[in-house]
Amino acid sequence: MEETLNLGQFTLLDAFLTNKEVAIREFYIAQYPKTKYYILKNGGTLENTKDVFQDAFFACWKKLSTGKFKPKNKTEIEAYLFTAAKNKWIDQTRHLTKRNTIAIDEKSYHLAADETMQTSEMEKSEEQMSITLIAFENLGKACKDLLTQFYFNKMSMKTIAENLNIEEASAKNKKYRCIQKLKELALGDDSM
Amino acid sequence: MKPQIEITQLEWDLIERYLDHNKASDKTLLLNEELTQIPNVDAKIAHIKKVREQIEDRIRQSKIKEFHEHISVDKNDTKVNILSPEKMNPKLIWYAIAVALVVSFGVLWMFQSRNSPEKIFASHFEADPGLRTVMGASNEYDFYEGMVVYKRQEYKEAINWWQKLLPEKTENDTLNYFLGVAYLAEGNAEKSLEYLEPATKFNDGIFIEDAAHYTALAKIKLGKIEEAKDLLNAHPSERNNKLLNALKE
Repeated sequence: MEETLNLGQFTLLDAFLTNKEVAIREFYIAQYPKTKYYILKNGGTLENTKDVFQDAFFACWKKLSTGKFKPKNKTEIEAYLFTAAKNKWIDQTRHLTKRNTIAIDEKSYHLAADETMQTSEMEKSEEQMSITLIAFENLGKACKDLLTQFYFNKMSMKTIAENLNIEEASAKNKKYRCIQKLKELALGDDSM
Repeated sequence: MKPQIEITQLEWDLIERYLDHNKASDKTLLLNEELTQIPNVDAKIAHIKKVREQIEDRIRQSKIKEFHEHISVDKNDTKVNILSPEKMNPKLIWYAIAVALVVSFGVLWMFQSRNSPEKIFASHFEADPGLRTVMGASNEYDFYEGMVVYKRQEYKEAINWWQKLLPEKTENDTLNYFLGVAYLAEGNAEKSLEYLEPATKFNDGIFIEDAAHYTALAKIKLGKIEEAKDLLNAHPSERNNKLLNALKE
């Protein structure tokens, strides 16, 4: 069996499921040129390539980690990633073309529809909160590190506490405070 | 907008323990009982699940941004030149097709081959877990500061801490070993070899087999397979033998 590893999963899938950073990064670096070539060939810029590839990569990672995408081998992940990037770029270029040619009447119709949707979405999101990347990036290094170790590296609070040279209870308290701070930052972003 | 749900730290910890625990364990009943004491528990569980998912997502996005820093950007590389067929000599087109086919098969073979260097590196590289960070002697403070960040997989920062120590401890095997591993974890195989080679640096020390392991991985990443094999042959250990077998397959 190709790339057999623990639990019968192949190496790359295992890396995505357990957040093995080095293996995921190697895959990112190896796959980027294909999308870059495609987008540059189809009228995009390097900046477009970066944005589209990062979006597609995130979508692929999320699908894998939630078990919604169960590839049988590495080739299937590569194909999924490239197709996602390609579709995003096609969507983006279509959207741009459409936006440039849209008639005024049509435009106002869409605006009205958007506004209706926005109101209902806002009503719905009153109970929701969305943690943005900006909120996370503004969190401060100590909190980012702690949350990353717990939620991404899946380290136990005991190990995190040992690494920080503090008691486990203090580490848990720090984690709780970091989450509250993050939520506050997110709510600040929402109200902007 | 104010947060809709107030969750105390005690409730938060308990719910997270419930979300993370092994459902088959004996603690299930006990946990479930404790949970029933929490008012509005279902909404709180849903809220925590959502926050956790969003935190994981943001960390992934943040990591993806970091990954991109490893892509070398060539400013002149923003155009893809496609030769127009009518301007080309028909003979040249056939030559081009032949070359493209040979290259494609080569690349395909390289990547599909069960044990390409890329695959071997990715499946065998696992950064050394690091040393226990008990900060005792003050002269080792910088080293252990580096070790703390190293364990968080912040290799760049660990390198910064350890590089400061290098002028005074050029021959220190521990320092050279962890610098080498940190550079390799950062994806910089050439730089890692500056610290991991020559193997004589680690003679008679506790790192000799492990240093050989990471040196071999760096060489694999650089495509120097035969050198990696020689090294692994000279320094047998369980994981070195495993890596050697993967290279031989």
